[in-house]
Amino acid sequence: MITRRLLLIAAVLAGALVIYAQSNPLNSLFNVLTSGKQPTQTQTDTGQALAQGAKSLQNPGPVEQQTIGESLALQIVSRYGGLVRDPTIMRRVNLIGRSMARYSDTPYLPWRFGVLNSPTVNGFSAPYGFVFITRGLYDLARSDDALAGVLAHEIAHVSRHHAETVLKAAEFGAAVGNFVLARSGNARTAQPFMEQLNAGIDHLGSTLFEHGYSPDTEYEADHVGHDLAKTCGYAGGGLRSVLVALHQRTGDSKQAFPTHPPLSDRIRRLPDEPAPPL
Amino acid sequence: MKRPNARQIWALAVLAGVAVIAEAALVVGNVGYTKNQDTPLKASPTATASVSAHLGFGARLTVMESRGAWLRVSDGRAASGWLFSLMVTDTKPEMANGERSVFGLDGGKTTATAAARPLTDDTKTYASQHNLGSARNDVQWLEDQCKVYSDRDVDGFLRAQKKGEYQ
Repeated sequence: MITRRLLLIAAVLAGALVIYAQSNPLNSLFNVLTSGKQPTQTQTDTGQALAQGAKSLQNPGPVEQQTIGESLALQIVSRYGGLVRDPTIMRRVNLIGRSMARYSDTPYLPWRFGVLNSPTVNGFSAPYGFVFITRGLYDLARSDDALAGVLAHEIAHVSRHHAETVLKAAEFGAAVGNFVLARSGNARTAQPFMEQLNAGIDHLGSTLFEHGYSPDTEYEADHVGHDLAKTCGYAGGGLRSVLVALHQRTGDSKQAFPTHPPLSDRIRRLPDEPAPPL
Repeated sequence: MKRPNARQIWALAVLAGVAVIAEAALVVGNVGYTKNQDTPLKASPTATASVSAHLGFGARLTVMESRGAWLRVSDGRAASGWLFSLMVTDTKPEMANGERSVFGLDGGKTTATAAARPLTDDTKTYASQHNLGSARNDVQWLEDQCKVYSDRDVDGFLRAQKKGEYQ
């Protein structure tokens, strides 16, 4: 009975993989599973592995989140000049950040806040509690209210699992599912699946760096972050004041927050509350 | 009489605004769930009030009363009291027992926040394969730095700054 169910799940997933493989750079997984080039992997093994992958795909566990989050953090840090190793700055961003993260929907994550050594103005986050802002953004958000506003936006991305949502979408879902396969203990079959996971993380990073999240996802992070910062006691207008200052300098030219929607759209959607000093 | 400057006027406006608009997301009659390993319920709507009960992760609560950013809640049995509104969520936390232990939500002493975690072996492999050795050093440094700030430090910061439940 169990074997039949596994085979049914395998058949359904195999069908999904056919569609998935049409346009995905990770389609070597599809080739591995269908070409028969791995004689040691029986049909039953494949069914069990795919069933495990499907479970992981639905709800990545903490180990999967940690590896995906750390790997994405490595990419962020590498692309944006490394970390600013200033204890005073670290203390400030971590205390303000964690004073809000403890009231987020995922207070139990090991939250870490870092400043990237880049003059550009941008912010990033990764699963498992990683939040980064650039030195350019840190220098702009000088008051605690303004800094809390930009950090709360990134906290919202993490607590709402926005990166995982991207991974679960059809284009990346198999990469998450394969993570369990890679950890299944079968060393002979683990390597190609690990390569798929790595390729998925690479693709996720490239997508976030080049295009960012969807506009609706960014607006949700603005909204959730605004409410979090405000209810924690920071000025509700913190993030908006930063966006307005940037818009006065650059307009919607994408010089600031290039991976986010136009500044004017974000400003218009946030409540027009008293702007704290920057 | 000395006229207040713009910064002082703004600060007063924010204080007045916080007092008026700091409302709870959940309203009377809503159901919420705790999201920490330990959520203390208070005898009155203030952080310094005595603790009337302790609730574990994922406890189901009904909102009985709302006062500013505080909610009076009941679990329908013996536990009732006040908590800061951001200590409950309207979404039931979905987490397997094994995952709870990783995050220290099952009563264990070590929480993920408090513990310094080395990068996973898979992450180290990823860094090696992508020539991210420098970034790996940075992220490991970040992990080491962040362990300096304990939950107690954050709590002290909230008290000193009058933020969160200490407003």
